[in-house]
Amino acid sequence: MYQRALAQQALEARRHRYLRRQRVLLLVFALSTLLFFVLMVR
Amino acid sequence: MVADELPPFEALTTLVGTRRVHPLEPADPATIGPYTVLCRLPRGGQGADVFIGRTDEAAALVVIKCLPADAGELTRRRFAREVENAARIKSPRVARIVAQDLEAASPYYVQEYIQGLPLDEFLAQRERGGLNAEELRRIAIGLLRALRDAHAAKVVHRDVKPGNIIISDKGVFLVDFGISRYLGTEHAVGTVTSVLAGFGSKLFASPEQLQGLPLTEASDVYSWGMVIAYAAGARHPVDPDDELSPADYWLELRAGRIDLAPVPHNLLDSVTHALRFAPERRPSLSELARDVEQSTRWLGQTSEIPSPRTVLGDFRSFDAVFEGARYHLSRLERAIADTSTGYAAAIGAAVLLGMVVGLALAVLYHVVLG
Repeated sequence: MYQRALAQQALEARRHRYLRRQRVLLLVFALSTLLFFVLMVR
Repeated sequence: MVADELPPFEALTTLVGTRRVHPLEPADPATIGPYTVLCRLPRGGQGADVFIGRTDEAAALVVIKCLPADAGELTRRRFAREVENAARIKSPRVARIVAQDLEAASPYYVQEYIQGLPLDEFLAQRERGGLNAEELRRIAIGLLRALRDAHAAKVVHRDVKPGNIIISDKGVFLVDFGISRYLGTEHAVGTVTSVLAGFGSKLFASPEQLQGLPLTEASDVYSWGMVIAYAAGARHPVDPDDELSPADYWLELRAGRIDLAPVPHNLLDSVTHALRFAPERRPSLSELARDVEQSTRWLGQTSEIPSPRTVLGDFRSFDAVFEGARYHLSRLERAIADTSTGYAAAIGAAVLLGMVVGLALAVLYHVVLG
């Protein structure tokens, strides 16, 4: 049972890290889209 | 239905008789009961010694499994249960018990000796890894039948792994009911064996077994899937070097990171279904047997032609596409979450994608307003 709890905890930690990094990736994507759009339109 | 008796394995018979045995150790007895001990086999679960012996020169060889005299009460009870479970199963694919003496100082029981090679040794003797489609089909069906017979006697094997699967010229045999469990009404004593029996066993255990949950027939179905995936590529599909801890291994199973690339596409659906994480979603043995027999029906003759997986073949089945996509997505997720290289690459990809989309939007803007 202890090992199961550890595994569950590691899984949740990874999930959390992934979601955090996913938000950063979305932000990077949005910023670079905006930047290029503005550069091309000006 | 395919005929019950499979024709002999042509390619397999050439290796019969080359099974790895060990010489006797100085402390080993020369005789056990009426049997003369000849040599040793690798030690079984519960610390039992396993010997090959026979009564006289002309008699057939037998396997003698013997507990040391100093074995504890619990070990003796488990040993007795192993004998009881193995004796319940009446099957031509499970080694028969021919004699037993559980009251002796060192309790022992005697099984018929299956002339053949365990699956792991058989794979190790192959120059190029993996089995061809026909051999894989025979092993898949033979193992399903052996498990069906065990389950019909209400016994769950719980330790289905390549070392316990003997390939002989007569077919596939299942041995070692060391941690098996009877599902019917059982005496209250000594029913708990959730421990994994020794090194390497975790690699073929079901997720619920790693968690120590109660096991049903579905657990053996999972092990079947894992054994077939392993035999297809001669490489363990999750942890080829046996380096993960059981907890990490369980995580890999949970995330579905099982590499089924070497499995031929006619077995892919059956293996994928057997390897479902939730036991209640796995097919029953009879469903599995029907699927395997139907999907491999065309392989009537012995064939040396391997069945390579093709991209087109993979797209024939929705389940296989879905599982493949899930496998790759979960790998991507792990690469991003666990490694800085993966994260950096993902940022790079996001910037590139942003540039392309920004450019496309700018073009659209000029077309519409220009």
